[in-house]
Amino acid sequence: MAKLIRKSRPTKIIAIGLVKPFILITLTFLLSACISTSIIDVPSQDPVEVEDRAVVNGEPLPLPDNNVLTAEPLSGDRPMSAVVMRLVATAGDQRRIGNWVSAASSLERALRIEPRNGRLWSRLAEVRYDQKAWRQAIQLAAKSNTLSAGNSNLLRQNWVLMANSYDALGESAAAEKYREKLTKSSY
Amino acid sequence: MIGVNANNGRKKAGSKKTATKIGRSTTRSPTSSGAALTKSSKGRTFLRVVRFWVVRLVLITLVPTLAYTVYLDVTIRKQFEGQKWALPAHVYTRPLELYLGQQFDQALVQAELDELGYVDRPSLDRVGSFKFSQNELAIYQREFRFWDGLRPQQKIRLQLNSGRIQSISIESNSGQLSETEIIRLEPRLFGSVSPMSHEDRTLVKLEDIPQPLIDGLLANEDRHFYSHFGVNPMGIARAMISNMRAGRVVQGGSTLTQQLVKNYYLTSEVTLSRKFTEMLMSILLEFHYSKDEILQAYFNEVYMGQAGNRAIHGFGLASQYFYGRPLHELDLHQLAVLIAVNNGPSFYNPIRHPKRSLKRRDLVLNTMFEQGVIEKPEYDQAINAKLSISPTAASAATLSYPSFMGLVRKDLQADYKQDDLLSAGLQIHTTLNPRIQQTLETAVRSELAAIEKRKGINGGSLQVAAVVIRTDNGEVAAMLGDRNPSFSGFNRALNARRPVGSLLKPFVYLTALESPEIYSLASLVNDQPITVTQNGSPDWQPQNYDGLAHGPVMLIDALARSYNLATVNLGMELGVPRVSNTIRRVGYQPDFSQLPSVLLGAVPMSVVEISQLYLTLASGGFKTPIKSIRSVLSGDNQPLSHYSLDIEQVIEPEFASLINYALQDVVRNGTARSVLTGFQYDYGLAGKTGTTDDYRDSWFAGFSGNYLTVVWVGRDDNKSSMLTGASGAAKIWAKAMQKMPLQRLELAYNDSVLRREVYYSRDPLEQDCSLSRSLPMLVESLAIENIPCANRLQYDLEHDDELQHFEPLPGDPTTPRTKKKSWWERVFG
Repeated sequence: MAKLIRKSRPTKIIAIGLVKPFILITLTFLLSACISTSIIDVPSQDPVEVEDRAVVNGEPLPLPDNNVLTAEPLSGDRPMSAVVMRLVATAGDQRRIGNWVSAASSLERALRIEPRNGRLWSRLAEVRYDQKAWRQAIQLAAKSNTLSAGNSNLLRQNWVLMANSYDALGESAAAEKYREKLTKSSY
Repeated sequence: MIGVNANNGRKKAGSKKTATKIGRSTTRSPTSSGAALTKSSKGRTFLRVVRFWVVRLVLITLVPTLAYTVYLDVTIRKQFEGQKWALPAHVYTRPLELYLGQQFDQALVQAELDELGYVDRPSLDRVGSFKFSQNELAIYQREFRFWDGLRPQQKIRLQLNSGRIQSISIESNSGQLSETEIIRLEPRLFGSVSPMSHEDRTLVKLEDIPQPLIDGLLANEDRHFYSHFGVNPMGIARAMISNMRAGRVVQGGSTLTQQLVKNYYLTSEVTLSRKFTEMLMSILLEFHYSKDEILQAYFNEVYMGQAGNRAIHGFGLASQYFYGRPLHELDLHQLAVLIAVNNGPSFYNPIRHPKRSLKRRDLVLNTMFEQGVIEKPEYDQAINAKLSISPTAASAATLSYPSFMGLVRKDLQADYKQDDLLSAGLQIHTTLNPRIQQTLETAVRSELAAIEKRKGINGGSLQVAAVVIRTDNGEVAAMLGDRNPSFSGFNRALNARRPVGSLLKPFVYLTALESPEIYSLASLVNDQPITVTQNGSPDWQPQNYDGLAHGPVMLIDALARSYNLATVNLGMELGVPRVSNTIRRVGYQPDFSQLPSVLLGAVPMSVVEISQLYLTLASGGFKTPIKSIRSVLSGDNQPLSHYSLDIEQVIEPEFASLINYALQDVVRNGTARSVLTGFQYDYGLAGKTGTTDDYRDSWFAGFSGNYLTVVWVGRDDNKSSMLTGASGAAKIWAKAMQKMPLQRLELAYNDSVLRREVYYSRDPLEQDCSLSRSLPMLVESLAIENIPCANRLQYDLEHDDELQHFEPLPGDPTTPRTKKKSWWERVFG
């Protein structure tokens, strides 16, 4: 077998437990404990992109432009694309007359076009809330949150919905958790 | 049906017997009465006896005949009424949506229109046509009942600008113009749920049948349809004379009604008794139903051909099958072909026997002209038309996606009664994307052959199973359960369970990363020999694929290079039950072994089952049930159910981001590096290779921002495929993904994720810390990972030729095996 043939290759086993590095490690560990708090207080808003690129034959591959779908950016209140706005409006009309299944269906159509649009997930959560499908409402709002970093309005909206849903489920501790987030984030 | 035939036979035999008895008694009686003249008293008694017997005999004969007639009557009515309503559930693809701002792929839209049977015409003068010009695509759309409402016939015009759709206008049939943001092409009907008889049909109403078709059919098959009573004695006589003259059967005297009856009991049996029953049933049918009802039933019932194991019944489906278009869109010459086909479904099949079919079509047109059904100009135009079976439409109709249908059936059986599926005419709107399916099929066809050639494996010996799923909603876009896409037997994607090998490793690492105060991507794990002692089993000593131990390696590298020792060490540290819990939590339902070999994927799973686990990762930690159906409409177009988007967060988003980052590293720097070759853009692809012992199973599971594709390659006899995950499944995966409309995978980092520089040394002894890389790290991990350099080493992949270890050399002594191996050795090398 291949692995037997290759057994003769030199094995890279790293000597562990060297004394010198160990002291160094301990020192830096202590040091870092002191400085880490300041790092925690300044969370990075902008994920770095260095090194995270695919390289073929020594050349990094270019990033795709929005080649098929007009995806919504990760955060921010940029205007929605015309088609998604149209579908959201349709869903709104359907929701107003209590046709929740159709409203959800329209929002799902929009989501197929912009799956990373946190606002669409939030709208869908609202429809589920209307349907008293509390658990699904919570889950969809949570999904919206993962796509809405930096959009505090949307985050707050989702937290309200989650708190209310947990209340409806009689899970007041969980509801309280999201109310707390609301008060904290208002500063 | 068999029961009915058997009964018929018995009853007929009985009635024949009584008939001969009557004959005998009637011939005897005159001679007996002659004798009675001389011996009157004796004669009177004798007459009484005779009368008694005659009455009895008549009764004996009449009663069964009547009973038989009643029986036939009930049978034929039941059949007629039953067939009138028995409609199998029809299964549709997803509709193609076209909207503002969308990048316009002309080839893709054209392929879709072709499959839908739309015809490219110089002007939009009829429904079912389209026209491409410089910056515009115009389509005259058919009416279609979508789940959320009826879309009427309409003309749409898409204005294109620099490759994108700039505006969409709609012109209604009344000429009203409006602008819109989004339109849909109708989905394509591609299959039906009819597991018992495999009979398929689409129902057409008489008023929707083109008049030339009705006239042409009657002119050719039954000129006196509207005047006879089910049987046409003149016709039979005429047929008999010409048959006798010719010395063989050249003409049939059957009426349409008789043909319909014959179709209900499709058998090739030609006996006198069969003919008699047929006539009797025809007369009964005419007695109960109007001519129009019978004609409509005829158009929907008759057998028109065979597509695989699917029997094409009725003109409606035949029109779809041969032309890819509804009946009312066909030209006269095409209708004539259908009349020809009806006369001999396999003999005049225009796809298999175009010449024969054309000749018969011309005969049909001739008869129509002679009978005055069509005028000279129409005749001339039709007779000069080519036999225009659309090759795309013809092949599209045979594209029935049996693997995907298997999934649809499975999903339907969970929610619907078998009877409803077979007869209620349900309309099933699925998630199948024919373009993605085509891409997958093409990739499998070309790559599987290339792999076999490259590896010197017998052509055709490898098998494949694959699935493509939308990551945001779990919709299955494409599926293959066999290397032959039209094979409808064993569906490997659903039913073949194979050990998934290293595909389970990410869940070991995820379990670790979920304790951020203990593990981060930069944590060192020990890639060193380990012996696992198990009660009742021999000791287990897993090995790396390259047979080497690499010492302390970063967690992210251990996964990227798929080190077995590091994984088992880490997994034993975490505890097998914890890892098993993770596997269950992310979406694996069935029970599985709790032995440490789980850490290296000794869990047999189907492609669909393992893809459920990866879907949870691909959707950022939200478990999303895999689905094949969007909605179901009843036979009378009422929405029955909508399969809504259903998600459940089972991994916290920050942990999902970390493991996905690691899986991206597998592609960027690890065992799956080779898949990048051929990609034009950096889609941030994430994935994992999987190989099992003796290279039996070659797996690859990977995703972009919008599609997850899982591929298995192996052999049905479970012998070595000579392939690793990278040299087999990953090749097909890459080929398929390269042709798909991908979106970049963007990891949703939240505030708790930071980027940290992690330092490396080139030399283990000097600890020079001269190299660094930036890794995402959770706030909680900072305390444990603020260690410059530590024992981290840079492995030089170019010289370390890690990837080469995964390529078995041709002629490797892998197959001959004398020593019996223990169970885990059989699963992993």
